[in-house]
Amino acid sequence: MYAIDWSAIFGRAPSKSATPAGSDAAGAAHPEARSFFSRISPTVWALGFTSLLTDVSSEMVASVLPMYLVLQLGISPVAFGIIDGLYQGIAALVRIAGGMLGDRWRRYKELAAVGYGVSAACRLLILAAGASWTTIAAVVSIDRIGKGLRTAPRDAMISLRSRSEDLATAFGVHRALDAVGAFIGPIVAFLVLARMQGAFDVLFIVSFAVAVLGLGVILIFVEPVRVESRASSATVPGIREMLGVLGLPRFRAITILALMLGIPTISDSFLFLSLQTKLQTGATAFPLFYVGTSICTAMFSVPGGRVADIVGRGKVLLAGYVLLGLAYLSVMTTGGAAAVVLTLLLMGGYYAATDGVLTAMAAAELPASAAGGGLAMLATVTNVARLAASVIFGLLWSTVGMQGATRIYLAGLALAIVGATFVVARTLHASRVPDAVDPAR
Amino acid sequence: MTPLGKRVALFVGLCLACGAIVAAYVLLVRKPPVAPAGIESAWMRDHPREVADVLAHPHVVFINTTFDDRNNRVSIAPLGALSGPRYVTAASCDRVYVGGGRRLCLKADRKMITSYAGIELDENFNEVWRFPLQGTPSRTRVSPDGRLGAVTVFVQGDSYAAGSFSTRTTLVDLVGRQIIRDLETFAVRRDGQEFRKVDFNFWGVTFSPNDPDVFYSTLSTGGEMLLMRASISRREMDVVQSGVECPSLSPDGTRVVYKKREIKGGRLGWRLHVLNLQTLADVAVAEERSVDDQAEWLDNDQVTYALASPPPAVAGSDLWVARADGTGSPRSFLQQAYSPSVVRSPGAAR
Repeated sequence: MYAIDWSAIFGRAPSKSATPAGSDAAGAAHPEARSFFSRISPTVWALGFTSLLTDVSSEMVASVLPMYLVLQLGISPVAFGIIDGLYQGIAALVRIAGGMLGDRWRRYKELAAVGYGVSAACRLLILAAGASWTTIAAVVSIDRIGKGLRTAPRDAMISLRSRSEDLATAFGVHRALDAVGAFIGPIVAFLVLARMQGAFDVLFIVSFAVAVLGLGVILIFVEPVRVESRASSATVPGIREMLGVLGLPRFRAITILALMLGIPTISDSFLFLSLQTKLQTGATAFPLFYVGTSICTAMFSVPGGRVADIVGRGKVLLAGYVLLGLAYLSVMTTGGAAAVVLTLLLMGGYYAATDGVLTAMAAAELPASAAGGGLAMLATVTNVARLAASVIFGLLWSTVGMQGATRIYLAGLALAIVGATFVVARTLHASRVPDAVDPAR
Repeated sequence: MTPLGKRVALFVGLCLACGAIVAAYVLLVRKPPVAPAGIESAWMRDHPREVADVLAHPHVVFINTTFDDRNNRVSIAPLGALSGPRYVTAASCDRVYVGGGRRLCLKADRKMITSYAGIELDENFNEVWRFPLQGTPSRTRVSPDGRLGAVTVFVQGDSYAAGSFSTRTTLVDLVGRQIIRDLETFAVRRDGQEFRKVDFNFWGVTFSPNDPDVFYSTLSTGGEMLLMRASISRREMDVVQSGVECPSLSPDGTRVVYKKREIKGGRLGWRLHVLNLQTLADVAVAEERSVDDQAEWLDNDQVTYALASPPPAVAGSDLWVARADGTGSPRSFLQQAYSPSVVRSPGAAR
């Protein structure tokens, strides 16, 4: 299957492992001695770089879009926010459709590529949209559709191209590369606008070019994932089959975990707003909070995933939410620059220990024929829980204040962690044992 | 399966093609922005005599939006000869206002980390002192006696994805050169009853021309936009009317022009209205386009406001004038200009 000997390629480069050059082939032969690079399929690397480039492209636009709308087009940011919620709903529906179609057609690569392609096209469309507010809103929604479409097939490919015992590491690598893109994007945008003042059109063209490169990586370097049709090829997965994965006790337990832990999650924008209100830093620091969190996420995702694969994914997931609780505490109790650094480190650790790890937990339980739909459903449950959490937090903020709302969420999170510990211990045991044999792969 | 070497070559080719697209766009397709024809401008420092003459007569101070090296510069034009040259100062700002001989401007320094400042300018438009702001500049006003300034910034409105925004409005003592207080510290009353909510947001201060202790502003809470009348000495304010945003008092102090929310063709917009503060009689201004601005009175009968310039102009905005009694139709006032401040009687005592 792996025509390209990537492990040999990477093995020759100075790598972290102390294995002398030449032992790579041996490493591949003896699974217990495999190097870090040989654990990660070339497909995962390629998908990671596609995400990195696409994130650079989308973040460089997202970071200047408010400025573009307000300064260049004279559109109020309030007007934009109003319909934003609607698009979130569209994205969730499209994501489920993307996952199901991927399972049904067995064409994850093609679907994901269409999703990346749609987003690339949107960079040109936004330039063509000019000053029309409705057209820009339409372009942003098409962009979201593209994002919704590609997420589940991409995660399914990562899952199908990784050994069961390396799943969290693989997702960690992908999420780390994704996070790198998230902080490079605004920097590229700044460099373009610093070089050519007000040159939003050039920025959109550069963003388009970067998105095309991202699309190029998936088209050129990703091998189509063919699911071995050992299950009868007559089964065409549909909605019933997708919901059927909820019959798997361990996958159901993971979905319950996602819901339970998602409800007491304060969105990072609220948490950063608290930090900002408390420190009186002003809007200046606001984008920096996101950049800082992305840097921390990029740093911690790979080690987080690796540790999860070794000691158990459930444990690392729980630890991640403990980090989130500590981030709440840090926002509530401390002050000054140290509090900011501590909070961003905790948030980065939280994302690194939960996002890819939860996906890996689910991927390990899903049959290959339902990977896309199952992962899409899990992501949707997580997002719905977070959306509800944000709405409730907003209401609490306006009634009992920022401090009170955070305290309530901290208590809720503590309860959820206790409950989740039971679920993990009872149903999932210590997650899957690393050296378990998975016949599906 | 295609060998790796071929794939890498294909990808390198794609990189080169993408680079070529960007280069071709920048070098061949893109036209560097130029000032629109018909707008004359000159640097203030090159014409001291003409500038002194403009400043001695009724004039308008504004932000020039022509897309060239004069973009965002505080500029002046005589009210008597608006079609003539505008004089461009060295001061670069996002919002400016003049009152009682004092000039206050708000500036966003858009670097890697954007910083924001309020800056007082002297009569030659040089910086006198500056104070830090907490967010993106939105509105500013100076009291008619020049003693007080008011500044509104978006604290979080930059993030369209967050779906919400919050503002902070601060009073500034321009004589003592210090920040006085946020409007959040004022006691707020409705029908005589004091009330306070966490979602209080204030914006758009306008100072009374008749009473130095009084100003009006918008208070947003629970989805309502309330017109507030405030007493500075008593640090309290009362609700006057609902549905009023960004008020601006007429020179005689009897009316406010404000923007009223309306959904038109499925999108949120604002219609300018004029409210009589004694009778509460309300009239819509004859401007059909959505106006998102704190309007300024040209005189007791006319108001001026900014609208985005129509294509092909990039990034600019134009000033328009409409009658305050709702009659007539809008006329063009000043092209490629923003944040107007009308100085009717120059040299008035501070």
